[in-house]
Amino acid sequence: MPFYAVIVLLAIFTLFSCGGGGGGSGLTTISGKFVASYVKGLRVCVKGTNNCAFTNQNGEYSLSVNTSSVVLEFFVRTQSSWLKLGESSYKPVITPFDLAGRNGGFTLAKVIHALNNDTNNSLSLIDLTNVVVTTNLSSSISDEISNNNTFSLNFTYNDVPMNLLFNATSGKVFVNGQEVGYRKWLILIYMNGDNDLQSFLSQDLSELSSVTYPAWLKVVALTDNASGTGGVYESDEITGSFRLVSVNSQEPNMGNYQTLKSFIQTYTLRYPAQYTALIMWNHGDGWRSPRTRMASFDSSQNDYLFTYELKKAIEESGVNLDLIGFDECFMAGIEVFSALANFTQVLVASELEEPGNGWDYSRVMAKLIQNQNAEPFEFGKYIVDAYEETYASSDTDYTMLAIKKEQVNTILSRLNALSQRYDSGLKSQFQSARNNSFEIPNTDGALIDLKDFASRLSLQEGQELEEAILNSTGIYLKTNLTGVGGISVYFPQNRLSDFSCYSSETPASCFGASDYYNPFAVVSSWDEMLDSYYSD
Amino acid sequence: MRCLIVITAISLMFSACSREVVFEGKYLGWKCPKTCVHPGITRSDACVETKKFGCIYLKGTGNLDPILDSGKRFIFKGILKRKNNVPYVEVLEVRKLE
Repeated sequence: MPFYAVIVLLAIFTLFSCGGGGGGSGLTTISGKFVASYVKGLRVCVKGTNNCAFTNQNGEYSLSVNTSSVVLEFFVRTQSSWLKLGESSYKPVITPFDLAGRNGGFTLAKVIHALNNDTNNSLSLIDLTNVVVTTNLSSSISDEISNNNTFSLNFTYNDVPMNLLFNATSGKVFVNGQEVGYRKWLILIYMNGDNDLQSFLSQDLSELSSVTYPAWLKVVALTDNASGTGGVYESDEITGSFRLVSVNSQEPNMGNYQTLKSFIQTYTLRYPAQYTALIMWNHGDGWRSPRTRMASFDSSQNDYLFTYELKKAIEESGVNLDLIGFDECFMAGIEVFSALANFTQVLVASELEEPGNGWDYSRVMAKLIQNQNAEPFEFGKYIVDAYEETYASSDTDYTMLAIKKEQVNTILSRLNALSQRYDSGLKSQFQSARNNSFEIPNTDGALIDLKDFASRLSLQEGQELEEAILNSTGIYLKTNLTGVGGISVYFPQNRLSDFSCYSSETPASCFGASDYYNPFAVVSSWDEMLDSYYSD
Repeated sequence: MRCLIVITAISLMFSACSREVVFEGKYLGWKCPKTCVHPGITRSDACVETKKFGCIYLKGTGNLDPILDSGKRFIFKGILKRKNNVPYVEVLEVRKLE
C-alpha cells in the first residue's frame, strides 16, 4: 500500500473516531423527565454546550451525549436569550429539588407554577412554550433562591404581562400579587386491607375523607381489600376532598415488594414535594417469634412483605423519604428501625399491638394542616400526640414513638458496644436483666423493651444505651406504661428454632422465602451476643 | 366479672358478662370470613371457626402463629368477653389437637 494511502486511511479513521458523526461514534442517548407537575417547553442543555433539547408535554427530553455522567442546565425563554433555572447531574427524573435543594426546590417549584399563573398547584402540566421573561437576573433562579435574594421577574404568559415576586424574608412567591402554593408534603399510605382488617380500612378511609386538604398537602393511598381489588385515593388540590380516583384494574399483591416499590416511585415522580412520608398500614410483626417478621400480609395472594423486602422496596425505589410510619403492631423494634434508618429522616411506630382502628387520621392530618411549616420530626410528634389523644382515655396500653435516624444509629452503636462487652462471666447478669425486663405482651416473650433491659445492667455500656434511648432531642415517646423506652429487641429466654433466620446475614431459606435475611444482623453484634448467651 | 352460667351461642350474643369458656376450633389466623366481626381489640386479633360459636375472634393472635398455624385445629380455654357488643375470647391456654 502506498504511503499516502495509509495517511488517508488514518485520517478517515481519526475523523470517524472523534465524535463528529452518528452511530458507532461513542455517542449515547440519554432520556429524562423534568417534573414539577409535567413541564413542557423547558430548554435542557448539556452544561456549557449548545447541545440542547426541549421538554415535551410529559416533561420528557432526549439528548445525544458522550457519557451519561453529564451536568444538565435548565432554561426558560427570555426576549433575547435564556434565563437559567438551575442545573443538576443527569438522572432519569429531575425535579426542582435537584436544582435548588430541599428548601430552595420548594420555592423554585412555586416559581415554575407562577410562570403559568398557577397559584394553587392545580395544573398537572406547566407549559413554558408561551412564557417569555422580560427582565433578567444576574444569576440563575436557583442561585438567587439559595442566596436568599429577593427578586422580581416580569414575564408574559400567552402575551399577557405578569409579575413574579420572590420575597426572601417570608419565603413566599407571588404572581400578580397573589401568593403561589406548592406541595410541602406528599403522604403515601400503603393500605393493605386484603385480610381481616378490611373494616378498619373503611374506617380509616372515612377519617381521611373527613379532612379538607390544602394544596400543599397531597395524600395518596393505595388500597386493597378482601372483597375486591381496591383502588387509589387522592386528595384533590382544588376541592380539598379525598376521594377514589381509580379502581385497581387487577388484584394488587400487597405482600410483594415490587408493588410497594412501584407505588413509591409512581407517586413521588408524579407529585414531587418538599417532604415525603410513607405510612405502612396493615398487620405488623416486627421481630416477634416464631412468627413472620413482616409488614404486610396479602391474604388473596398469600404473600408477606418481610422486613428485608420492605427495605429492598424503599432502597430500589431510589426515593429519599422523610418519614416512615407504621400504623401496625410491634414495628418499633431496633431490628426494623436499623433496617430502614438510612432511607428516611424519621421513623414512627409502636412496640405494642395497636388497637384495631390504629391511628386516627383526622387528628393526624388536622395537626399537620395547622402547622404548615412542620419538619419531619415535628410531623412525627403530631402522629404520636394524636395517638395518645385517641387512646389515653381508653383501657388500652399504648406506646407510640417518633425517632430520628441519627438516634437509631446511636442506639445501634451502643447496642453493639454492649453486645461486644458480653462474655460468659456476664451471663447471670444478662439473664437476670432479661427476665425482669418488660416483655412485650402477646409475643411469647420473644420481644422485650430495650431501655428497660439496659437499665437493669450494672455496666457502663448498659447505662450509655439507656441514655441514648432516653434522649429527648432524637426521640419522642408517649405511653401509659412506666419504665419503658418504646423500642423493643428480640431476646427470647431460650434459643428458638428460628434463631438461624434471625441471625441470617446472607440470603437463606426461611419462612417459605428463599432469599430471606435479617438486615439488622448484618450491622449488629446483638445476634452474635445472643448466640454466645444461648451457648453459655 | 365472671358469670357461672353455662354458655350457649344465644346467651353469648346477649350477655354482657365475661366467663370462662373451653372450645375446639379451626384457627384461621388473619384469613377470616367477612361475616366474622372483628372486635378491634388489637390489629393482631385472629379468628377461629368453631361449631359452638361460629366464627369468633381471639384477642391478639391467641398465642398462635397467624401464618404457620392457620388451618390447624386447637382446643382453646379462655375468657369470653365483648366489646361494643362484639364477642371475643381472651385466650388463657391453647392446645393442639393431634
